[in-house]
Amino acid sequence: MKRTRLLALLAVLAMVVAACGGGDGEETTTTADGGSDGPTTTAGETPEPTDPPAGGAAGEGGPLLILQWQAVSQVNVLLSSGTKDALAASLVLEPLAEIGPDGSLVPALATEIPTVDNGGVTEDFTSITWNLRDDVLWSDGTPFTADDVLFTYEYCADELTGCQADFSQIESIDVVDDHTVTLNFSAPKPYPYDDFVTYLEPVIQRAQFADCVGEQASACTEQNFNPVGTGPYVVTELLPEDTVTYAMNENYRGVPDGKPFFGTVTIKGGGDAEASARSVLEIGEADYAWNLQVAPEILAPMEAAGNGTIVTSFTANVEHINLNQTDPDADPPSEWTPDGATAHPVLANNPEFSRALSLAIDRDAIVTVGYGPAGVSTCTLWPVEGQATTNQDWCLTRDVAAANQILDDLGYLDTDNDGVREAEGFGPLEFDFVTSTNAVRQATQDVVKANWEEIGVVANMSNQDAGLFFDGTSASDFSIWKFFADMEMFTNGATIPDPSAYLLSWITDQIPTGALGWPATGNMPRMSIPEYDETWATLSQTAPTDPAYTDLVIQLQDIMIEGGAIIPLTYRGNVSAIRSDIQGLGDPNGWDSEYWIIEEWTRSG
Amino acid sequence: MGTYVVRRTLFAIPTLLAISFIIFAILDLAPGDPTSQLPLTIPVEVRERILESLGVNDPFLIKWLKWMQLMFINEPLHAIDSIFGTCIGDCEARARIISWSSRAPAIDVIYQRIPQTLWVLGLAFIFGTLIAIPVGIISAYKQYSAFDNIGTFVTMIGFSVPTFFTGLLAIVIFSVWLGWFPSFYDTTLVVNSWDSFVLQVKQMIMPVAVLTLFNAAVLSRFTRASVLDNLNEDYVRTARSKGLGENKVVLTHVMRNSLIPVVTLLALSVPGIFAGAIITEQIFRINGLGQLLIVAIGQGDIPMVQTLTFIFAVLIVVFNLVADITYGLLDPRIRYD
Repeated sequence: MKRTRLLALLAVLAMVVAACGGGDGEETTTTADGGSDGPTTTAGETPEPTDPPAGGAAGEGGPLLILQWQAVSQVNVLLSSGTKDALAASLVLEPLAEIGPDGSLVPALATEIPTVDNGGVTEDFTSITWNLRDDVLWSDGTPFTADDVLFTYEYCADELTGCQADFSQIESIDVVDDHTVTLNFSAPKPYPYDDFVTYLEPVIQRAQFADCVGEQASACTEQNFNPVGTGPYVVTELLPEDTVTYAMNENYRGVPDGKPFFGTVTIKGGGDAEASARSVLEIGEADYAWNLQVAPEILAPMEAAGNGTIVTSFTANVEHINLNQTDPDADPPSEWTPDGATAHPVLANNPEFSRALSLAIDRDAIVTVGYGPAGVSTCTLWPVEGQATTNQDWCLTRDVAAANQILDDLGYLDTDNDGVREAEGFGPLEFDFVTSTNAVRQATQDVVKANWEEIGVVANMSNQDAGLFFDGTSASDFSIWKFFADMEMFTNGATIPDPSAYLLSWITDQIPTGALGWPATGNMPRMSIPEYDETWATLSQTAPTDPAYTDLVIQLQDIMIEGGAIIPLTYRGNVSAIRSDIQGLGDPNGWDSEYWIIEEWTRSG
Repeated sequence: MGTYVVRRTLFAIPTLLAISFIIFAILDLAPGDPTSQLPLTIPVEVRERILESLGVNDPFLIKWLKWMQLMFINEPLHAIDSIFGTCIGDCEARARIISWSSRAPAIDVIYQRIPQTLWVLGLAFIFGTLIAIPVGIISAYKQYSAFDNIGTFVTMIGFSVPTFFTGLLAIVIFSVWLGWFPSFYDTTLVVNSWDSFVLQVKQMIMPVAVLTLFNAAVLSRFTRASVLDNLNEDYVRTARSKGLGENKVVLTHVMRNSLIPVVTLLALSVPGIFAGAIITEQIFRINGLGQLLIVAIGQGDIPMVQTLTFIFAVLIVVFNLVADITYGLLDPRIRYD
């Protein structure tokens, strides 16, 4: 009896542990019979695609299956918490203009892109007037008007809504008539195209969302799960963190031309990137797989199976190392002050040291090991074609001898012959090097650590869970903003091809400090270079069409890299896999939704 | 026995309150940011606005009391309303626990997950039990025979090899090489015809098989040990010497007694079905309750995590009680006051 009880106890323990899965899961994310009875959150019970309209063959193409391993949470991109939701929304909601794969603007709900030349933008850059298409209907059949644009602004302007779109630079919106709307800015904006542009800031319908502004926003589940849109599809069912299914939008303006081709679309989430790649490339059971952060040695053999191809889209994502210009061991740690009292004893204002570190890194090895065709070595944080600086390309050629020479000249000698150089007053050149938990990032850390050992610098590697590393509240001590380490590595990226808005992140005003409560502002390395601040101020007032514009952008990049607080490593692209028989995708688009022309997709054969 | 049940049930209430407080406290103290997956370019004012609108910055006790009110009053009322079609109190504007990442009521999302979790994991549980008990009994009866040795070998593999390995192996063999079964689970499949039924079976075979192997392995070892215990008891010798056939001895007398601890074990592992085999769910993209928990934790979706873990806690407490009662019912020697 006693023995049985003991056995039972042990077995219970075993079962409890076993029930939890009995293994360690590597991948993060972050993550039967369909019809749901009882309390549900689905809206619009139309699982069957309707008959194609009499005019054309729209919707005849059958189903399309897309795999987004980071599952969709909801379809109202304005309240969303990530790119995955924005992508799901992009089949339904549309902005005034989209950005094409080459970074140029493409009108969507607008008829043309306003510029100073065509009178759409005022000469002092304080307002922009969009002319809207008059042939656009919402999916419920009502016409799309400028009033909906005004409503979207009001929806986001209400602080209690929790909208992730930033319309703070708009002072007011004038609805001139049903198809003309003017945005008035509070200060001149030479690049006025970041409002209502791209899949992150689409227009929503006033009639549907009227009661959902402010505090009510979260309670409007039906609207958030099935927003009325002008795009080629409507949501038929949303299972959060799982699957979204769409049917063709009967009122879509492309229907008379036979678009969209596919009658239904399903975006299925769950699993990890490798499983998604396998489904498309090896098994051929899905048509498209998004965001394949998979090591090249695993992806390449999958592509060789012949069922599909890998496409990479590049925008402005650069994996880089930040060198903390403040001292993480001071008290309080990493707190920047204008007088430089808390400057890092070795890394601050030491561009020569930074140059040595950069010269010693084997960037090509990093690309081979971690990125494959999805990565290109780079020496700047804005590698966009036509605006990238070439003055820093010295970093592409690894030169350990020159790096050692620089360190010798700086006086960092290895006095005790233990292979590690010392700096006066600081001791051995040992630094804490942190990044997020991710196989590719850890592989990069390994390469960098080995490279730096050849010049007598030691990097103590560690990694943190992405949820903590990118924690923008002040709760986590491991966040990139608090930067309680000597060096950190991650990727910054721009959401629009506007270098001025992106390079703003590194002016002195953008330094996050504890005194201000650790706001999630962009200048994590805490660099403070007056020349950079002044040049940026000039750039922010220069129109993109001004001949001096590109020179200013290049100048800013040079100041940043020569300042030494940032070491760029790899220009990263977004990797997706497509089944061979899917046509019509065009060039891969990293700036906007990867499904931005989904109405043009067809299946051959 | 009645008094015992009542006393245990009453005890469960402060237990659950304490559990909810501890879960809440841990999650509240843990760092983790629902806006961490937004692009880094989102300005800090917008992040703060989002956090404010989610109620992240309220003081701890306020949050806990609010959640308690929603969980113990509003949600049950909503459930009653939707089941019986009534409208108690202010049914339109009743606040519910809202998930931070999907902005949907957390309970609704959880409820949507139950079919796939129950189907796959419930079936694996049932099949595992149906396989394990006979295997365990025969292994014990014919101890050290070929059957027993092979059985031991297979079960050792079954619970030593992790499910992510067997799962991946199954996918590689059956999906990639042979192309027989889909490698992922389609939750939107509606079974209303023979074809869709076949499809449902096809997508369930691999995950159910993987989990059955694991469940059966553990359970059969336990059953075997329990049967071995009982085979050496005096009453078995008595039954044989009275002239009862081996079948009757084993199947009627020994099995019943051996199954007592096994049944209690089964009762205790039922909550495990709901928590889901998280790894297997990830491998086969079944998107059940286990996957929901992991995703919610990764996204810093505190209300969802709290609601889920509290539900699991309730299930464990309830099934603990069920296990104790079952044990008392099956074994007349056990008497609670």
